[in-house]
Amino acid sequence: MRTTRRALLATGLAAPLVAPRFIRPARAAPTTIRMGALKLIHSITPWFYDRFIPAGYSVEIIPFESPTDGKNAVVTKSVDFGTFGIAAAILGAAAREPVIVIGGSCNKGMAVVARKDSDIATLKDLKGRKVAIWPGSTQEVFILERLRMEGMSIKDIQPVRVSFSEMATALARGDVDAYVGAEPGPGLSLSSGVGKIVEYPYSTPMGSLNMIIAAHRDTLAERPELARLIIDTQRHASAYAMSHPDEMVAMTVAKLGMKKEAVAASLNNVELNWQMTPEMVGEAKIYAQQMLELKQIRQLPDLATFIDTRFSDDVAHTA
Amino acid sequence: MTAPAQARNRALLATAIPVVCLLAWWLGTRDNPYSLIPPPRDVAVALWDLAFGGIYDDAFSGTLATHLLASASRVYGAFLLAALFALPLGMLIGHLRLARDLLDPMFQLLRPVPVTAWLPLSMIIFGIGPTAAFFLVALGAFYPILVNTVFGVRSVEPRLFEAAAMLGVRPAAMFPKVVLPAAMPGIFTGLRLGLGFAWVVIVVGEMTGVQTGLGAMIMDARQLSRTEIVIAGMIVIGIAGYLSDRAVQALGARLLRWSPQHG
Repeated sequence: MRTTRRALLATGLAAPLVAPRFIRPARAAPTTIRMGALKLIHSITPWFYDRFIPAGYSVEIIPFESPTDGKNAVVTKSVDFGTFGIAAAILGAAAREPVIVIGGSCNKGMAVVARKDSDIATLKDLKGRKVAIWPGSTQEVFILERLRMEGMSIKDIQPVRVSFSEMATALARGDVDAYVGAEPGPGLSLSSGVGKIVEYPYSTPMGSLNMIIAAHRDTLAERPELARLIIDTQRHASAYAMSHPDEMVAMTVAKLGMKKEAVAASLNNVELNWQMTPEMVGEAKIYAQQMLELKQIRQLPDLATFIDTRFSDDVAHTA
Repeated sequence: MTAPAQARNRALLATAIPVVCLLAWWLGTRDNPYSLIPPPRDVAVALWDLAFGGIYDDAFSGTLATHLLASASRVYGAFLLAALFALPLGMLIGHLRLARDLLDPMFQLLRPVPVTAWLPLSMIIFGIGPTAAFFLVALGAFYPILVNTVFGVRSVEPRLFEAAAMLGVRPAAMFPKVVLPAAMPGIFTGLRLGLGFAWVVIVVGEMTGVQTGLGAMIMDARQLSRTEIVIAGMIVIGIAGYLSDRAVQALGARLLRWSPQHG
């Protein structure tokens, strides 16, 4: 017994000295980038990142229900980067939160939809009608501006407070005459034969600006290489998804569980992108001004620091 | 100790923990250049602006009364609707074996389904609007009333039946004269819990489809990153729920003066 104990002790002590000769050195674990995304077709690009991310990195996608949740995840550093509507980023920056826009993610994705059998053909026909709008959304800012351009205001319609996911159902049931929705709601209304597009509200000075990529100020200061990497990956992934619509539909159906017909009908209204172009910067500034006038924010964000195009410009130069 | 001194001590004890929490909240949020959780002062200002307006002049200013009235009407209306169904059903299930075998398994199966899970279905059945919100709040209040009524009816002391029979109460009169009064404490507990749950689920009920209500206000504020209004809404719901509970408690104490637990 005593001999056995000694033998065990000796083996135990010798093991750490001998083992390294036989054990292969462990490979360094890949750097995991946490990416917040919304459960929308506009936010599908990160699910393609795996194909383009360089060796030594991996991406963990954390889905969020609302843009505000995505923005808060960036501010609290629960994620390294997030993609959400420009409105959420402006709301945060206006409250002096350290959220910085570093790239584009998706333009378009909105539509004004009416029942197919209704006499609503233009925005002016919405006068006196029940129109579903989600307060505080990008779509609300766009429709208010479009109404203003038509010489109307919110008082000329009957706004009904409905979330995006309920809008197609509300239109089908006849609870509302029209809605200002986000894809794939309009796609669902089109594919089911219930709805028709009244207009895509992109004729305002805000263009079709919708979703961006944002990061915490500290992330950009401490790990700028990650910011460049994520913008470059977004460039490849968005270009791939846009040139392979079937795969984009399949990915959206597989990852977000949406109806295939609705997603397919939404495709022509979704423009995945990556670069924060000077035009988009200009549109974002107009957007912030609109939000201020609507009293959704109390002050403009610091526009000199709120948008940082360094990484997007750098990728554009080397692309 | 005199009665006023006792009341003062009780008030001091009741406010001690909230004051400590308030102090910790203030310490944790003061001097921050930004904070996702606003300091208490911002919430107080938001609450004032919600109630009286005149500070921010935005979509929320001066709207508290409208939202509170909308929510209170839904809470009390839905609570009454829930009580209308839950009380007779609970008495039936508690008193009759056949009703218990027929209904109890179904209700026990449906009871764990959260109100949030009913939201999409209620939108489809009742449409966009206050009816769906009304249904969801009533559903939240229904089960606590039902379960406590069943419990109250079933836990009547068997000796009471013997005593009543000896005093000449006929079998047909046992339910109104013995069961119902003896079950009242349980029923009141159910009503109290039901009204509390109605306030709990009001935010879910008003999440979508209605223009006014504290739940709608909180969801809109969340969308706009106005956390100070979210917290102000929470405080208002807490106070309204507390006052409702005190009212039911006072009513119970008055009607159940004979009961050693409630009188």
